[in-house]
Amino acid sequence: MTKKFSQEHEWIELEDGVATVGITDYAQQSLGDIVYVELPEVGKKLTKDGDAAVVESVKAASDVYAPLDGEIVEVNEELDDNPALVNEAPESDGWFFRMTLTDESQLDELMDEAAYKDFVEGL
Amino acid sequence: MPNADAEALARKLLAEDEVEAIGLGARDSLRLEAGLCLYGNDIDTTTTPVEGDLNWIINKRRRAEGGFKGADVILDQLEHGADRKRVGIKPEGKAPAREHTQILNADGEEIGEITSGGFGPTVDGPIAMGYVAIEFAEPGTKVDLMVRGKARPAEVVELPFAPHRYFRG
Repeated sequence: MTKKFSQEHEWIELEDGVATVGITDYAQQSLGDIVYVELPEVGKKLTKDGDAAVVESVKAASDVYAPLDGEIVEVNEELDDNPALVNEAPESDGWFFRMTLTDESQLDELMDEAAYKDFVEGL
Repeated sequence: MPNADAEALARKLLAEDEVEAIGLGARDSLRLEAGLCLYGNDIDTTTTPVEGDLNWIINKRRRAEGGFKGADVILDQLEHGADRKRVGIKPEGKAPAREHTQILNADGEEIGEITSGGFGPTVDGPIAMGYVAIEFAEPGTKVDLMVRGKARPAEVVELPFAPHRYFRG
């Protein structure tokens, strides 16, 4: 299982050809209390760096970008009723969506956990 | 108060048990729940007190004598009503509708715009206020809000969203 991170503060975990995507602990802390998550529809085709979802905190609405090319196969419907899950468990139960990848080699362009940690510390 | 004394006063207030420091975001949630206008958002040089549902700020003498800026328009609106009014808007569901969100009637025609919107912690859901054409200003009127290209149901409601509990001495 490979876990990677984007500069837009998303995490991507690949298992059996399906990538689970969410926002990082750093992202949820920066956003503050999350009150609404707008998820894409299953079947939606995503383009790397294109719009994938919207997360609304008390303060503002923020776009979540697709970290890779692919297609949505599942969304976390739990977030409809309980968006605060993103604050409570951003990198586990608070996942946003699952997608198939057009090109798994795109994962190599993302950061591993250690590199992301350095990236965040440099912000 | 001289600027030089501001910090000492702020620290004195913060030393009280019931006082906490809050930021602009918290202040904005609170004033929105209280139905209070933010100048530049909910009222500006293009709105009148009558449109803004702020008739209480125009005193008796001014109503009788006029002679203030905008008196021609405002006195006429006091007597005959204005074409639009500031109202509370409660979105259904959880999606907040923020400022500049279009407000539509059941036929999909634009009837106004949200001027402030966000999340109300006391209400535990999204809240907003904005201007609607006067025929849609009655509490209970169903409207739609265009959030990210999608029409989402909402209702015109009475302000405030949370009851006032001001200290009045």
